[in-house]
Amino acid sequence: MSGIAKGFQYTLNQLTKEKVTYDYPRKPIPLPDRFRGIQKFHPEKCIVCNQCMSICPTGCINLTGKKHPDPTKRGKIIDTYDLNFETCILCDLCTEVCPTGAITMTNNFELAEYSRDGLLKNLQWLDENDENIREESIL
Amino acid sequence: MIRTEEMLLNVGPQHPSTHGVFRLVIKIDGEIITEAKPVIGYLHRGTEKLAENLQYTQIIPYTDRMDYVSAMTTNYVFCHAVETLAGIEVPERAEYIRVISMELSRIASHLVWFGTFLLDLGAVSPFLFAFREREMILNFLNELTGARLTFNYMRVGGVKWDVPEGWLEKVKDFIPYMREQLSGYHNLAIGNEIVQSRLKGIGKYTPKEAISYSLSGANLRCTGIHSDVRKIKPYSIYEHFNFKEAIRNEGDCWSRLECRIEEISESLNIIEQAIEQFPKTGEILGKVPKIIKAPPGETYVSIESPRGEISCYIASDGKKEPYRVKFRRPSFHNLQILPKLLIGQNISNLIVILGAIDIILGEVDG
Amino acid sequence: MADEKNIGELKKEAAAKAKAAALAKLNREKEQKDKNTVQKSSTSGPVVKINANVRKSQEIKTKIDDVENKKDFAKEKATTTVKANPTVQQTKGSAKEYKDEEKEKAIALAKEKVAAAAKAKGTSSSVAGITNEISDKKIEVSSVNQPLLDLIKKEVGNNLGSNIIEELYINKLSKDIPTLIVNKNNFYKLAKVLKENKNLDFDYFNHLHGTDFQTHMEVYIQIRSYKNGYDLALKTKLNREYPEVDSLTSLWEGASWPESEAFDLLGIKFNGNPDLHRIFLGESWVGHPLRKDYQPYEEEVVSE
Ligand code: SF4
Ligand code: SF4
Repeated sequence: MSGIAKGFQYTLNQLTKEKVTYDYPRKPIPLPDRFRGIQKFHPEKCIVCNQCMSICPTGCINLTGKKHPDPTKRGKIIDTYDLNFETCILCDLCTEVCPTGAITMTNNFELAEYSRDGLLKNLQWLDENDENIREESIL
Repeated sequence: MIRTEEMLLNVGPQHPSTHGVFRLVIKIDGEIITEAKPVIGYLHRGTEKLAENLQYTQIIPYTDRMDYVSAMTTNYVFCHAVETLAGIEVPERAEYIRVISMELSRIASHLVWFGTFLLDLGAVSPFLFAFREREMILNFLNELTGARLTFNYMRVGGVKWDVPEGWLEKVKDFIPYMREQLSGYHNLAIGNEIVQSRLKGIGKYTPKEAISYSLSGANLRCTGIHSDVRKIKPYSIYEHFNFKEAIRNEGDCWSRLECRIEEISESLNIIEQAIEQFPKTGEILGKVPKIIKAPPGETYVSIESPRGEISCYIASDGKKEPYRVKFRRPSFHNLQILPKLLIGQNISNLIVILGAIDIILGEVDG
Repeated sequence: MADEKNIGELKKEAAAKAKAAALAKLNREKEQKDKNTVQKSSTSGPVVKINANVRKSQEIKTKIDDVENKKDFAKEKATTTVKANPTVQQTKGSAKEYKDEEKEKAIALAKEKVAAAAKAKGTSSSVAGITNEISDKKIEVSSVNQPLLDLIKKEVGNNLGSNIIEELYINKLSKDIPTLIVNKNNFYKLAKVLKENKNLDFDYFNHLHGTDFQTHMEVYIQIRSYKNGYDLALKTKLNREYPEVDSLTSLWEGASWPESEAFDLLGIKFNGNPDLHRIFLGESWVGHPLRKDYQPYEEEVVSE
């Protein structure tokens, strides 16, 4: 029976220890900087190179570009940028390949929606998602 | 006279003790199991088919989802296979980071197993304690990789991020803490007479049976066979470390528990040595082309995952996508012996025997 | 209710805090950048380190090495133009043009990356060429596993005659594993000898899978001897239309499920397996997905 007594003793000793559970959602959960949350998109940085679209393993990025409105400048600027969070697995590959850091991760992760349609996010939404942006970058 | 009647019982596919979607059709005569048939495939996602249309880098996130309790090892086996095939050198610093993260992953995985296994036995509190420690490890890995379970951290030729500042010190401080907790577990549950009598002599098999059924990992080592791939076919930098292989001779559920607990403390030893030897400077990613193309040929590499020997076969035809990828998934092979172990057992031992094999359904179904 | 309000307030507070922090950081960053530009325009060094990151600097370094080593003048010219671009830009550096400048910088950066990638590609193809030469099966360079290969040859020759093995070689790409190719009619016979011969003693069945090579099907197994520490790969080619081979379950019980898996996903029949079934997809599934010509039942469900 000594084993059972020891077990009780161990449990009783824990009673005086500090709580280890999180008080989420009352308090926001502390997350490290590298955390891979919902992406933030910087339209002004994007050079429409299509690398993010081609690396995405689930094919959830859809983008189109248009000519630069200033005729003296070459290249393209971004026109539409849709990210489908139904299939995005937040794998971080798109932000890894982006040569300009136009798409970056944030620490936001709350994505629940009442309808699946709400999970298709467009350029404007991704641009406005500008809190807790990841500081460290691989670039 | 009490008359008993044979009864068909479906355990699962949704059953809390199968830790996933696993179905077991059993016939019972009274309380004794007379026939058992595992039904799997509920979580088959066709990873191998998907991989045929993906570039090597794109496959790594999919390997996360195979053994989702210890994704680092699955990440590693795939990267290791590509590196072996393409002859890519990995910088030493990257290998050290890989080993530390893999061993942390192994500890986390064994803690999940320890907690849920005792929960299946009816002991609720070890689960809470084991998850407390696991949470700390997940926080370390979260800091390192940016995710708690699906790390997508390893890259062909190295790793994605360097270690954050102060991270190694934190891990170092964790080692003595974890050792203390391990002795706490002994007081809490492992030394408990009820736990011991529920496990000793249950689900026993001989070394010959274990080998014939292709078991691996703790399931094989509990019968006294030296089969730790880190020892018999060293990969990465495991030769640099001094650690023991966890071996028991009984071959029952109890010896499997002991093996896994010992593996936790051996992993702690490895991490301790790795932090000591950790190269101060160096690259974390070798010279790899942006689009990886493996030369035509085939390769097959094995490593030791928490559940046993996990291997990856790649056949390449020189394109940027592999021609065929195949994983040897240890849980899939380990589960095969289950019907044999269950026949003739009391139904209350079913969950104990199933739990002691330590399956992850994402891995069983591929 | 009160609780919920509390949550809302707390969340708002947290958000506000985070925003403030982010703003402060952004300002700091801007300052830093401005400082950088000043510094750069004054020093005007050849290498512009926009981001002091390991990988970036490595790329630049390799590029310089490349230029120096190969004395590739065209490339040198190209790189200098790329490098010159940002320096020109940075001499302006007024707040109004900040955005445009950022973009210009980004383009320059991207160009650099592309150049580096192109360079890397060149090396990769040469690496592939080298390994290709090594992987040539016929070259039998001495390997650690050569004695094992000879032993297998000898033992199999003693038991079944030496011409039963169609091909045997050491697979350099797969950690020097001895590999045997055998006709499918002799597959079971050979496996039995490998298992039961006392000098070989391959008692552990490690792995089985099939592959559709379009011209034929292949079954690949890997077996191990824990006693002797040997590993061996064994392959056999099957007819693609009617892939059939003898089952190994009577030798190793552990072969049963992997055989079922190959049956399910590729349609390979293993004669003599008492429990051959469609283990993952269920008996009602049409087709074998890992065949290269497999058509998904509902095509719109599968993406790409
Ligand atoms: S995080 Fe991964 S899945 Fe999501 S959009 Fe980026 S590349 Fe695609
Ligand atoms: S990779 Fe970056 S720059 Fe290129 S299209 Fe995507 S977001 Fe734009």
